[in-house]
Amino acid sequence: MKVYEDRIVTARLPPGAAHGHVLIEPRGKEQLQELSEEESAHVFVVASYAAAILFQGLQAAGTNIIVNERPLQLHVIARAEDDGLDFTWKPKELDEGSMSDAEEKIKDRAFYVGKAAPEVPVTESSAPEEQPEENYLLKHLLKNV
Amino acid sequence: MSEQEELLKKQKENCIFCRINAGEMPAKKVYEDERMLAILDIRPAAKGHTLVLPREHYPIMPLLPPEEFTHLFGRTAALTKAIKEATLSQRATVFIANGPVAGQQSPHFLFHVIPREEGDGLFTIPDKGVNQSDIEPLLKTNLFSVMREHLMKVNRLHLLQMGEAISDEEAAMAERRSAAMDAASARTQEVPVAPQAPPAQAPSPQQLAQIIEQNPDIKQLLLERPDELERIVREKPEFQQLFAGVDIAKLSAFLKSGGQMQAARPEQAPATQPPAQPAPPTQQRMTPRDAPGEEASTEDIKPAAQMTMQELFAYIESKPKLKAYLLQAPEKLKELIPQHPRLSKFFEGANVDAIISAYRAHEEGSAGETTERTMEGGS
Repeated sequence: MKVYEDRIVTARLPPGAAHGHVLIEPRGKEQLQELSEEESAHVFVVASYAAAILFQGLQAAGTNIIVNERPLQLHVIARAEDDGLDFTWKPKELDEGSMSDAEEKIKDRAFYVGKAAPEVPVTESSAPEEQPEENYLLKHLLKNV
Repeated sequence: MSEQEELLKKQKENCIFCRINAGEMPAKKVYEDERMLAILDIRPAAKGHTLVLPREHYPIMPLLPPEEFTHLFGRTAALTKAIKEATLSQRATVFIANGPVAGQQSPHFLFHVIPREEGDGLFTIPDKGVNQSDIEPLLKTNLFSVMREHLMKVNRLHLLQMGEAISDEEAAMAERRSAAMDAASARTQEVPVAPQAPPAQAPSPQQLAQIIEQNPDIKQLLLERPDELERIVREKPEFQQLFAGVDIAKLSAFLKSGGQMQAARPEQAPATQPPAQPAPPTQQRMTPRDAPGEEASTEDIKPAAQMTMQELFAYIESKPKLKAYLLQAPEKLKELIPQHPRLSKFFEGANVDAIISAYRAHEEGSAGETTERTMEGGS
């Protein structure tokens, strides 16, 4: 049951995990990183509005938005006391070394978030990482011909 | 200070995330910019589990102002990529909890990005097969209308042109629903005539000009690809409404030649020329003396172009003959306009076709008044 769509997403009511479960699927995307900044904001706008409609329209006690990848899906789920759903986790015991390691590694890679360089702008292609390498190689080869 | 503001102030004073933001509490920051922070969760579901939050304290997601929302969630895609690469994960989950029942623990809005591993058993969404057909109308109507409003505000209405994926019937249905809702709300506002009320249906040339100015996409199409725009207008009800009675090719040529939008008058040209065709027999009933503009004086006539939609409709309501012409014989009306000073003055600078279609749509929307009755009033 399709309930909304535009050029970036479709939204439907799947056989639900709850009464009030909207599934939003960005068109042709497997992972969040394939979305441009604008598209990324857009899919969360749709999810946020869907959550607000479930909250107000169904008098839900709360809502969850859960985004999973491969394929990219945003689940918006109305919640109630004792609804039998459990999205909690048991915290992992990570030592200081492991936490610092994660901190350093993420920090390094997050440095370019929101900055233009040197990330290749994410395009329609589902394999943006390979592209520059190939193009460069191709250029190089052509140059040497 | 209102009670609410006081409550918020108190909440902020006790908020650990506000203190982390202020540098008063330590945290492992992995990303920060002028609006947002990302820190490692100290009770992680997996290595690299990150909390993403706006620097400012907003208790719940719907309270995020649009610019904060766009910034925060715009950057989420790239941030998630960084977290996955750092933890060598193939997948990540973004988890948002609205309300304590859903697992919201902090009064400072935030969300989780969690790197995933095969078989980690996290966030399993059970397929309980709950039948949701009863809430289909709720979602369909509301999601479409809030998204339409949102996309209009951010100037990206073109995203709603769905092409092959959505059937035209479905799009038309959604559009009709929303138009009916607009009309309904316009009617409730109508009782004490509110001149500033928004137009319920087709816009006046001035409004059309404004809309085009505000939508560079449409303007560009109009200037560069009028044929493409014509195709879109043919297919999309919301555009049909917008361009009702407008000759797009003419308008495009006019704009290209450096014409000003507020003077979108090429459509008006025919009205200044005498009608080429002989008047059909029905016109006998409506001789010039019968027509709405019998007196030569035009002093008291306010041009339609200067009226709001509400005023215009109210004026037409008060003129049964004009109303009958508009609804029953718009072509005759157009022929009559140049022959009658009062009519000419009334329609001066206005897009006659837009007024006709707007008023017809308005009439179709208002209940209880049949066209037969309006005809009686006119004869």
